[in-house]
Amino acid sequence: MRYYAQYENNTLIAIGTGLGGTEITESEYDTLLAEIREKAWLVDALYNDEITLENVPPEWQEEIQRRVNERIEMMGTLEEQEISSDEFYSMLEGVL
Amino acid sequence: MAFDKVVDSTALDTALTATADAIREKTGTADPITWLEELGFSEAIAGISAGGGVKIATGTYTVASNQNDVIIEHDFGEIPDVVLTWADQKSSTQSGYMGYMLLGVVTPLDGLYAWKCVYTSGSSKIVYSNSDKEPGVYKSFFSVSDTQVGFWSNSASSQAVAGLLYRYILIKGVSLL
Repeated sequence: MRYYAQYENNTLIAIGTGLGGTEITESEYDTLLAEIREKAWLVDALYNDEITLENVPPEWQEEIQRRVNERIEMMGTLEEQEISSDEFYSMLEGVL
Repeated sequence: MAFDKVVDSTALDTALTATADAIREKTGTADPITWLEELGFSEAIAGISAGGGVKIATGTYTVASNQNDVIIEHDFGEIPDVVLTWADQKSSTQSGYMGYMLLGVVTPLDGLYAWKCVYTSGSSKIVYSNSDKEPGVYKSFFSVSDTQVGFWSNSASSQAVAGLLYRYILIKGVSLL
């Protein structure tokens, strides 16, 4: 199986199996997957006010805070983000 | 050259014609096939594609942070007939199609490609994309080319979700229509 990592401007965009990106080892893939998932959990937790920035490893704080800010900018605060199925279909129609 | 076997020329001609007919059926032509003195029909047979021409590619992708754009690369050299991609688990944060999805691509319809989007809620919707656009050019839910399949989102609720394992299957050589 071929494992790959995809970078853009030295920033990790995605990992996967199959074609694409730069080939990496299975061990490297596992390490990156664990880091991606840990950061995703931290973003969710910080966004949901389940943790504070002090709970985030110092070397990741800037990235995690930036991703939370991006989510707030796109989705609003937690209280604002609920959408109905009608609203979702309306969004679908908007790009067709 | 050795002349040391006696054959029934009628039976031989019948067998050669049957072989040529079988080759013509496989290649979809009615053209005459030349029997080469040293090679027989081997050149014509070598030109027949193996495996009925069906191509299958599978893989996974996991985005590092929520993404509006996702590209899957393939080496078919032609546009896949069917694309299926789905997340291994439901997203806790996304309600859109990339949050928890099962998407099936269907073959071209009058220059458009149709997606059948099936949501885990049981609802579904068919959406279309312009087939002559390369991935990344046309902002719609998906685009396909002979080397890539792309997915796009225009809203936060439809982004590919960081950390989720998405799987995909691409198939060329079959039609679901």
